[in-house]
Amino acid sequence: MQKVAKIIELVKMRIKANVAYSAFMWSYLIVGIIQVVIFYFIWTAVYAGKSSINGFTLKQMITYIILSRILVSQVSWGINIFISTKIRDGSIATDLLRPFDFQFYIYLLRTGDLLCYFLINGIPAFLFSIVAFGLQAPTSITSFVLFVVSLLIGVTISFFVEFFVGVLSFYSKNGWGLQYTKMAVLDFFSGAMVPLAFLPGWLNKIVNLLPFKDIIYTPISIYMGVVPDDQVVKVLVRQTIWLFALLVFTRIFYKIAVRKITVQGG
Amino acid sequence: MLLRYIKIYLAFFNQIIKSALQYKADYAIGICSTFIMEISKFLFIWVVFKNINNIHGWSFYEIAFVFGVFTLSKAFFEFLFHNVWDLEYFVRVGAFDTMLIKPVNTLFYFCSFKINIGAIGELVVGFAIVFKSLFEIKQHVNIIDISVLLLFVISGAFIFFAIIMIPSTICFRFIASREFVRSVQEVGSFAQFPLNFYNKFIKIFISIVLPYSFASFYPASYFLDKGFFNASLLTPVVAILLWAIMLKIWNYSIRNYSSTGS
Repeated sequence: MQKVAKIIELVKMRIKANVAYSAFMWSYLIVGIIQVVIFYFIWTAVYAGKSSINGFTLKQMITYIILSRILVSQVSWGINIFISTKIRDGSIATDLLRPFDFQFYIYLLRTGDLLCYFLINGIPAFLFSIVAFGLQAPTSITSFVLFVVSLLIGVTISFFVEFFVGVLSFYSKNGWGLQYTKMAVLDFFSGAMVPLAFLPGWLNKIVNLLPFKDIIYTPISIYMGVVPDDQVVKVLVRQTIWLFALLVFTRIFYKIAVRKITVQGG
Repeated sequence: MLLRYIKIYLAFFNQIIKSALQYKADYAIGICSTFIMEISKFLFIWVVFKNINNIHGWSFYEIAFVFGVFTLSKAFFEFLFHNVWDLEYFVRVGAFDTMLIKPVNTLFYFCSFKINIGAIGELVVGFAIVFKSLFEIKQHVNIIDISVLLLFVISGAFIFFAIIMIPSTICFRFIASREFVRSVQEVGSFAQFPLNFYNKFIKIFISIVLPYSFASFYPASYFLDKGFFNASLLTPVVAILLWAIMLKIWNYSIRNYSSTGS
């Protein structure tokens, strides 16, 4: 019970820290709105005279870009900068010496960030968009529930990617360089920039070998009913497999990286 | 006097290159990351055009050219004037005070003591997109075209700097300036695409209020046959005008600046 209390306390502290820095949240919102507006105009121009492209109507495309912007603004930043800053200024040493598992600790902080974001930014933006911007409501209660499940798995996959990139800072001082690379790769391969159905076939083959599409494209496709009912379970299973694969991978990578540091001393 | 400033600038530049060659690996990652970032943004246009072949009469290379001019102008801005992003930090920790007492003009020092080597990746992508699309659009590109293009792109860099610097000077008085400037920066993204795609309000906003279009669409119009040729010639004028405004605001800000104390 002691441990559970500690966990809750950590997450609460992180949420408070987020709320204190609320100017940051406002800029997220404004930047997100600007991006949605730009995409809205571009896609409206693209769809001139066409009712649907690749199975997406303009209304569906607008739903897609709003949802993907709401999700990507949280996934874009991530906790890797936090980790690489700690490595650079050395405070990582105290964290590693603690008996509390480092990866789990970072996971809790990330959960705090996410909860804060969804409660203050994400869910209000979602509800507001349905009313004001014609965001399509979910096709059914089941698809919405499955969407939430897929979203939670997707966000955890994102956490593992961020953790991996963060731990990479043990090997390179350029945390920002890694961050920009991660953002660029994620923006494209997760479907945040363009629905993956629009990619040429050969590129989609590569995309399907990577876990990134499960962070954004998969949850949104479930929401929009793009995934046929009999396929949904298969898709969720695929997501879960990636989740565990990344858990194992990042854990091993982390142990190797930490051992390298302690062997080198300091 | 001008000669002295040029000498000092080159001396700084030299130092920075030397230090970059010392930390090759870190800088290489920086350059690769901006390279990948800009390619990723361009991929949006590339993917869209895998599914259609024109948008409102604009072809792939015409849209890519506008995007390329934007990217190249921004790349020069990030390469030469990246320090504007750190202004808030320097003021907050009190480090700005040391720049005020230097024997050279403060703004000059602020712009020259650090060059963003990482932006080379962005420059490479910008040049590639601009020249590839230009050669696809115009059969014969002569030396005058290239000179005009470079003039426009450098003007564009100055325009970016002025638009970002003006709101950044808020940091001399208030704290949360960084988030506000971030929003101002994001508005610039509208200018990556031809103005024709937007409504009247946005067209006016990014032409006059935050004249990002003079770093992309209008200069690009010089080479396209989509109109606005006369507006394209205004590009260097807009750059000079914005700098005049920015200098006035900068000088006013530092004159009334009293340090946070350290």
